Amino acid sequence: MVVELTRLLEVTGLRKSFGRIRVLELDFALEPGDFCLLLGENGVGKTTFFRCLLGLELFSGSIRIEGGPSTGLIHGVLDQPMMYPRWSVARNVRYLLNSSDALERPPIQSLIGKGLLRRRVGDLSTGQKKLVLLAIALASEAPVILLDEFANGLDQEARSRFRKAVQAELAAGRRGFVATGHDLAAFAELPTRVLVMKDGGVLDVTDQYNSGISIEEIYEHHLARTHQGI
Amino acid sequence: MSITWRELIREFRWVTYGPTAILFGIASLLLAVWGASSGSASIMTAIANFEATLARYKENGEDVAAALASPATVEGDGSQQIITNSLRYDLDQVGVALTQLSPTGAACAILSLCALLAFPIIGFSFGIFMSTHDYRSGSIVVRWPQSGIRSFLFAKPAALVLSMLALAIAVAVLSVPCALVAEALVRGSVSELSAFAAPAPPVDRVVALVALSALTGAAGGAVGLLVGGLTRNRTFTIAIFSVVYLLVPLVGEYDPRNFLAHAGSGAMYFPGDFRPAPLGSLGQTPALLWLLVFTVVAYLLSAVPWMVRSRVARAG
Repeated sequence: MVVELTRLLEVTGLRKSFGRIRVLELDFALEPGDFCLLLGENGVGKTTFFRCLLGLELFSGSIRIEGGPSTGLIHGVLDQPMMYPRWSVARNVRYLLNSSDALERPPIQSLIGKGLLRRRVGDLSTGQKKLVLLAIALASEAPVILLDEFANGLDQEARSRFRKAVQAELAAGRRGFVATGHDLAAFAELPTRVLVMKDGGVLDVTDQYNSGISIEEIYEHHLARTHQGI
Repeated sequence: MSITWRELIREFRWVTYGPTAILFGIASLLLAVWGASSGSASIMTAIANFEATLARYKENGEDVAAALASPATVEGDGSQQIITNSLRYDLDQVGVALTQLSPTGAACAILSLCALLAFPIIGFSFGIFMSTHDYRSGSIVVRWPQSGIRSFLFAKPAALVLSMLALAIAVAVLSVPCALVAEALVRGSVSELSAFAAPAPPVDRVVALVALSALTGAAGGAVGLLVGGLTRNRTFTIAIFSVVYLLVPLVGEYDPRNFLAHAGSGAMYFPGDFRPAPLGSLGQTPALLWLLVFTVVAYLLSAVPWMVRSRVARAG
């Protein structure tokens, strides 16, 4: 008997170009309980990769979630405005989660206070907006969550609360996360895998990470090699 | 509940959470008030015309009773008409104008104006906002992966058509109390002539005009969805469309605006002096079909930009 194992997220032959410039050409996979950190310089294609995963860009290749289509199964938090500034936070939460019981979901209740729910999004600070979007991502039913520069604007207390919520999700083993960011300290012990994006592809450096080398050191080493043209 | 229906509900969340629903409410009230005020004005004009003709008849020593007892005849087309027995003709015009004080007459009169003049522009503007709101807010980053392309592209036109239908119903309903207010305001001037009021239009004509108004709004909305998807611009496109729609003369029989006039030729109700005449001899049924085809094609074309271009700004 042959048992075919399906991965949580499987990206095969993903190619993306802007004009004649090839930005992405990679394969990628994610398992439940994975927190995959994508490292790379600005403009290397991390956000474009996320946009392709979210179906917001045209690309060639296939994206499968547990062997099937990805519709409704990937939720992303990009480093850009994603809410209606004139609506209250509560209305944005209901709209983005598209559910009337959205406010009762545990991540919304634990990460967003009642006072914040009543406020207009346009009146929030950058960090508060980011925290709302992160809470929405955790409150979604998507098994794959993409976090682009998740820590931007978040204070230490909010980062800590969010990391605890993510750790609980990882421990449950139902979801996988793919994250990018340049504030590497914000990830702390979350990553289970570390990849470096370069020339449109990905280089798996998880072994180095598991051997005790810090994310910062891995990234600095990668930068030095890049600048040497290696 | 399927993803498609959930997306339709999400689109209505946008309608009700933002100012759109309130703007629709205000628009329906303003349109109803416009209908009542223009109806009252047309009644007063008709009465003034009748009284002027009556005074002329008396001045000339003509037999007023005999003139009122015999029917008027009208010969010729809209460009040149020969009216015999103008006193009776003017009285008949008063009778027709007075129907605007009845609930169904008021509803038919304002819905006819809406179907021809207001709803295509309201629909276009609504379509522009509907095709740009999630792109401009950035909420599409969350929405698109949840919905998928088919549900996304179904939800927008479906919500647009249902919203235009709701707006038409709201205008029809609000026209009734507005007509009652108008009746109270002009009662003193019309009381002697109210016995000559023509029969009010039947309810099924109101229903037909609600459907026609929703259709013309949906047609404008389809163009708005298409243009909004292509340009992602709001103010400029709405201004240009409004100017072109209202100020540029019909370019021929197959001008889409002419379809509206032909499509409503059996149902539209213009009891005042404003009586737009459609160009050519297209006929009601072919015009309705053309209008439907135009609307469906515009809806289908509005899907193309969403399929072939990036859904988010590329900056950053």
